Amino acid sequence: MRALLWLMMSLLTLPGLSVAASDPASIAMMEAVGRHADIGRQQARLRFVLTPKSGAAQVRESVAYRGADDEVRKLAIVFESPAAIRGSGFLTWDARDPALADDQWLYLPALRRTRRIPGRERGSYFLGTDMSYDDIRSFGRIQVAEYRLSPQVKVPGQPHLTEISGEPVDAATAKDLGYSRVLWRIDTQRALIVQSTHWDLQGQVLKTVTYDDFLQLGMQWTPRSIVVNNLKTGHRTELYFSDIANDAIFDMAQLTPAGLERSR
Amino acid sequence: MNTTLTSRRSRIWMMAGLLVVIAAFGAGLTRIYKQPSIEALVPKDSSALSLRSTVRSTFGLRDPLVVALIAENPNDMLTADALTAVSRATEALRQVAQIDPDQVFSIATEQWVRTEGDELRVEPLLPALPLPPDAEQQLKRALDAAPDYRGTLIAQDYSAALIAAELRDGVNPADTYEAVLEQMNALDLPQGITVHIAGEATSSGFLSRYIDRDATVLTPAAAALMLVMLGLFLHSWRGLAAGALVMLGTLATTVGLMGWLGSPLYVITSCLPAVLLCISIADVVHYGERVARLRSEGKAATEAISEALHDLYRPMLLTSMTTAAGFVGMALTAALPPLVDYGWYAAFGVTVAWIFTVVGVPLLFQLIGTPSTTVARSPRRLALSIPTRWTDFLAEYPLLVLSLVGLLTALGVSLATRVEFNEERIRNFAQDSTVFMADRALNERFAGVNFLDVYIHAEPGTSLLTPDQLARVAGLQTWMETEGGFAATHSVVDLLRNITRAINPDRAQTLPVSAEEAEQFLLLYEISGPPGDLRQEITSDRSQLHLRGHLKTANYQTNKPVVEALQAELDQRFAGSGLNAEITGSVHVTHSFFGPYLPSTLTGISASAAMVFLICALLQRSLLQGLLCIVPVGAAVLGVFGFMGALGIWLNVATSMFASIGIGLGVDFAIHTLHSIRSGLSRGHAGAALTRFVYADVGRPLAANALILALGFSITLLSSIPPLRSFGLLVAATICASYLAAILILPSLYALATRHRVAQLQPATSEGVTR
Repeated sequence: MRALLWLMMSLLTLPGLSVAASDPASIAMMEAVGRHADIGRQQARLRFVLTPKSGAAQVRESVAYRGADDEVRKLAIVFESPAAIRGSGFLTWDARDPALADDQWLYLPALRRTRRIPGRERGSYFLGTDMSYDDIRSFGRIQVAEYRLSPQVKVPGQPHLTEISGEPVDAATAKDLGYSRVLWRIDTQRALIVQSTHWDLQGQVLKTVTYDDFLQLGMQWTPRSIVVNNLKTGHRTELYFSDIANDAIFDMAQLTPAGLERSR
Repeated sequence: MNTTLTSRRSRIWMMAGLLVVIAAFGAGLTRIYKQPSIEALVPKDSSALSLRSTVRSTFGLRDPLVVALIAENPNDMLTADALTAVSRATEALRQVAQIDPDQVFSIATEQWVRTEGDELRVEPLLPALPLPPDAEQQLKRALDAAPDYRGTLIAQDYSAALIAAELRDGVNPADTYEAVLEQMNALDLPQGITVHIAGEATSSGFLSRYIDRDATVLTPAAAALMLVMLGLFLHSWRGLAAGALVMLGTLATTVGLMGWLGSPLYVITSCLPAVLLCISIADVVHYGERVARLRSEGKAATEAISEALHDLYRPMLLTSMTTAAGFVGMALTAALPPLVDYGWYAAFGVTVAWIFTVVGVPLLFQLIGTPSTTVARSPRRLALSIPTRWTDFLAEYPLLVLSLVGLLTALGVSLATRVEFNEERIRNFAQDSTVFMADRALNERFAGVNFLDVYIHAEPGTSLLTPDQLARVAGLQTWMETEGGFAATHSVVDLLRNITRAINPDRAQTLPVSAEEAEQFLLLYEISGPPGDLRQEITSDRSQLHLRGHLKTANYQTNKPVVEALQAELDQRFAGSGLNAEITGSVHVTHSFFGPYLPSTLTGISASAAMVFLICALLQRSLLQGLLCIVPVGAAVLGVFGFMGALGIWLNVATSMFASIGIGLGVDFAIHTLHSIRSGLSRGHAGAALTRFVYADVGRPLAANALILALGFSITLLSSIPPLRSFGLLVAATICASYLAAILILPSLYALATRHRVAQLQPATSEGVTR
């Protein structure tokens, strides 16, 4: 009887398990992709071009600093133009331990001091762009345990491109990420995500993110152009990186609240 | 005119040709689409519409669907259960597939800025679920810091909360309403809290549904009624077949043509098919009855068909032309696209009905046989006789009759001065309808969901964010709320003031002290929300600003002085400032098209009357006869205006059509009465005898004709849209009044004129008018 029960339970649960499990080859591919994202200290000029569905684009020039230690990944963005916001800076400390809260600070010349601002949810929009905090933090890397990854599908006519679809493993993760599904298009030769399409929690296509103009720095590739088209609102975000310097020589104190004030 | 074809094959081919024409036009029915929005009323070249379109596009504005949670008592919305319900309802709305989840606004989504020690927080007015024990205090603190949300997102007395949601592009508002209703019904609301759904998107959705409902109710009901009438008057399935052919031909060609030409079905034109059905069968009744009568007199079928057509061709042409002229007059002078469409397509339909009657019906009778010979007697049984003692009285006292008619007309003119020229979109809904009640509830509890906005744009080289320009806009908002008649206003200046107070609570200046500070405060807000979070308030280059003004009503007359005062204030406040300020918003669109509408309505009525007069005068070769045709219907229209004044029926876009249409239809009674008078004169009747002759000759048929048309237009009483019901009632009243005016005024005038000088009058040329 117990054996029969065990058999019935197995029959009931096995199909679910097989659906829930990610494809091993896809896991391997996404892990390979992730290796590019874990860069060291980097400095770059970053141009934000935010274009509403209609109307003029908003262009902001900034300098971005990235660095990390064993506990946190740090990112500072200091705006240079337009002139009215020159010297304004934003700093985020992303704790490697998911259990720990993130820290964020903002410096506005009008405030004359740095103020702490609450950490945002992973799915929240980053600095008013169409990218989420998670998009920025992960920078093309995903935590494979959070997704059920489908087997890879070759892109017809493009032998070096493949597509992997991922769905959050549960509703809570979906809500955390802000997506119900993501489709990644991957350059298998260089193990790079070249495009991703994201569906919102209602199952409607939300946005496409296109990574382009890759620059090889040592063994790693980094995109110099990220274009996000929000298909729901018609809003478009373009991020352009230039003067990228990996392992750049800058004081890590730059990535502290006090450093933010000094950057102006 | 002789359409008697000798070859049966030729008749079949000709009938087949007519059916092909019907099918070809009818195929256009599949291309018909609905246009229930307020913009549909406005000419496409309207500067107000163009500006509104620019502003909507620039700031990404869309018609909102508004959900209100309304409690029974003040402060009831501050309970934990009620506030939780607001959060859940907000989240539920975000789950609706047709709604843009980033464009849902409530106290659970809108943010305020506060400082706590060294920390700068931008967070929702209402804390996230699960609510902390002090949620009420937190909310009140937030609303104190951001007071502009009181009255707009939460009632001043905390008795209601509002959630505004924008629809995704291209979705069906009616489906969205159902989906929202389903979500709201699924909520476990605290006792005493009710949900109301309103807003422009809801109105459009309901109107779209009403157009569908009217199309499925009015047109079949009109067709059924007309077939019953035909059955009563012609007593023959062949007569019914003739009527069905004319109705089908008229409807398929006219509405099909609308489809082929890309004309939408407006709220106004949704009753056009039913109206055309009613008008189209009038000639079929006359012609069928004449054919049957000739058959009863022993004429062969072919001979009866031909002779009846010969007798009635001209009068049917005359009455159809005058009816079409009424519509053309309206089309030529109307400024609003729905009325222009209505006029032209109705005129086309009347012409088509005449063609099918003089071509299709004779052909059909030749193919399937003529109506029964008993028909000739049936109208006599059914027609409405005027009792002899009445006719005697009317014949003997023509001066008294004319005096009484004159008195009634004077009374009508007097009451007509009380007619209110007014428009309010919500009046398209019955007062007990969900939409109407929701709109009323929302406007009672909140600052109003009717928007009169100001679009402010800087001239090149001028910044909107300098302290003096911000102060100028802030001053305008203060004026609008204290003197301008607005219940609330909202702009990016409110946001800047809230941030300034939060960051510098001790500073005297409540607005940023420099353009740089303003820009940095906006940066602070923008980086805390979704992309384009400020897009509805200020453009990214900070050169254009959208100021929203809330009004409690969309009533044209109430808002007219508000619009005019605001324009004067803008002219004075922004002169030489480097900023341009223009009024826009849905209330302004209504104001812009409805303001000039009264003169164009009066011009339209005059044009219709002039065209009808000209046609009557030309075809009867007499200016006097033309004038006599127009006098009774003129008195009737004045009387109906008095009726409107007495009953408080507004003269608005829908009801304004009645006069032009009524003139075109009502003049027929005068034409027939005058023909009968000429016939009586030619027979030597004069004075009272002439009046008696006229009543005996045309009194009953004209009464039957009036009854058919009035009943036909009364079909619109089945409409879901109150203004269309009023329109149908007014046309029916005009038809009845025109009939009465024609048979009272004209015989009495002639009776007086011929009482002492019968011998001098010469018989007029006769046209066999029998309609």
